[in-house]
Amino acid sequence: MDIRQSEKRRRFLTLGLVCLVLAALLLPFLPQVIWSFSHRWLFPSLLPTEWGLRGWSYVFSPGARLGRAIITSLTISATVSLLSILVGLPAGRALGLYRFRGKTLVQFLILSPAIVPAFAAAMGIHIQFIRYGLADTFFGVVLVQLIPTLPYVVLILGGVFSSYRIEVEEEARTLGANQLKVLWYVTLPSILPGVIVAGLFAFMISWGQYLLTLLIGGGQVLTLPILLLNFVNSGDYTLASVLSLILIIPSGTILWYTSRYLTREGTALGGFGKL
Amino acid sequence: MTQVTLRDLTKKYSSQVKAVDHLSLEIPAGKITAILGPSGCGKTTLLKLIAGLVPPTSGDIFFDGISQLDIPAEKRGAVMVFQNHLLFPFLSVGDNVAFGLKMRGEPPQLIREQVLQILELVQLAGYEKRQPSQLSGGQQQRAALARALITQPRILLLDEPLSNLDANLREEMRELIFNLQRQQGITTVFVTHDQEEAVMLADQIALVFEGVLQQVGEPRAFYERPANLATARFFGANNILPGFDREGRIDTASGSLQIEENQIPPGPVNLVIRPENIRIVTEKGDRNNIIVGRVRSCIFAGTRTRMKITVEGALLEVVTDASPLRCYQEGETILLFLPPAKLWAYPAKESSV
Repeated sequence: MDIRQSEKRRRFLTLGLVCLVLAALLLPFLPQVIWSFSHRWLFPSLLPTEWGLRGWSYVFSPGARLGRAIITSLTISATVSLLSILVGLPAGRALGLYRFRGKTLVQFLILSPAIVPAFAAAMGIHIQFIRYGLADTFFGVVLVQLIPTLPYVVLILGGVFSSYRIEVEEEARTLGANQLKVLWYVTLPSILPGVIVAGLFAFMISWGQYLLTLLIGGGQVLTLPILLLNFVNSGDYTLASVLSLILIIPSGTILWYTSRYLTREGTALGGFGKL
Repeated sequence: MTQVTLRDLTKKYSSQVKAVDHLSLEIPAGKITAILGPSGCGKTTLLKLIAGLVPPTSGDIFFDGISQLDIPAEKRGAVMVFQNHLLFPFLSVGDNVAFGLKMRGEPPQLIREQVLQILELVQLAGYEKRQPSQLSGGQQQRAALARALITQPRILLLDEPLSNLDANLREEMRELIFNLQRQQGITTVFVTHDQEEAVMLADQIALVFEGVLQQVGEPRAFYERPANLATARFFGANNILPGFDREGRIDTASGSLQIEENQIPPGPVNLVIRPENIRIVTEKGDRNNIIVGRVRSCIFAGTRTRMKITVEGALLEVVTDASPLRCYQEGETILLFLPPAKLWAYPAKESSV
């Protein structure tokens, strides 16, 4: 009887905690949901005095350029993640697997963009980009967004490789796999969970970028955050709320579908930060 | 069946560290050769050199007389089975075993048949759908062996194949390796730090200290005539009497001793004898090589008795059959006979490992 009761109490406590965490995560979005459906909401009323779909209908009208912004944002973030992985794989492998002279310095340099505000560096980069014709272009924005994404991607992949046994590759070589086949059949399947997590980080960091996109894109490269900030600046909270809700859709979906990779023990994040 | 020849092989990892040092070795076709030596003495490097996973600094490697230096690992047909992390964790047991044939591009039907066949051979029939993490250590080892054997390698390279297993599994695995090797006649090289393992499994042992080959031969040779002091000690001949060689007789602190074969020049020597070669006698008679000792300890160890005996200038260990022997008291005086044929002399300046 006692055991049953304490068991019951424990389950009750767990449930309470889960609710608390969910509330802390979701409640901040409540005002936005309300704002997005409001038509008229003036001080001091607690709820909008008039409800409406103005925000949603405007955003989905062709003049709002929402479709274009979503496509631009998606392609930029996808390209950034892909490039981050391409650069991060060899870097992470070197940092995770090998010891070499000056490794600490290299580690520090790779992490430095996460310490120094990217914006500070971007000012100087902007001038160079203007010279090379990269300013105000899609590719210029992609390049500059690599600054905040790379430290995380390299760190995650470095962690993945630090628990990776290179013997697996050697074994495969002696079994008749050439280097290309080893990469495809052995290395990639081994590190896939880590690559997915790193790619997600890069995608989400890129997805939320505002300042760098604005500076290098110069308003020509229209991403979702740029569009959002336009509305915030003009004081239209209804539209801004609609957009911010749209902005969190991809992160939410991605997180939902890949949470198993993030939480699975001993795979991707097991060695996070341990080089 | 492939014969492997290593000629003057050297592998340096840096200017100081030599993992393999001017090593020449014949590995006979269709036999089991053990590379024996203490941990971290370049044994695994030697396997990797044969497999083609690391290039030698100098020297050459021949398979049936053909140099392999320009042949990449995947084309040598020398399959290596590592000590741990044996299987690909993202593939099922069956796919693991099939890996080599898949790389070769064999038709799926044939691969399936062979996988089932070889799994049966290593007593893992019915396990092909399992994940490696669902197997025990011994089963993983057998699956790894199957994955290597299925490719019908020219040379099978095993890195410490038994050291991660429990004692009873070890025996089972040793028999399996032995039987499979005899059945298929694959030239097999295995690395171990355990001399007992090497003696029981190998046709030929190559003893390596710090990348330097000490002695090659049948297991028996290492007990009957070790090539040097370090080899003798590694194989448990740990009784050392310092002495001075005077043309046939050797003066030690315990008296003058005779040895049967003496090929070393006069000068300071170390006499070595195995603990089981020392005989306890009751009276001196007119024999040579009898020395007097004092019993320091006497331990009954089931079928054998182990004694520690102080003699002039050394502490000797003696192992005898237990049955006819009463246990001696501590401090008791005892006569020991050191048979001249079993007494080996090595120059004293030789380094000891």
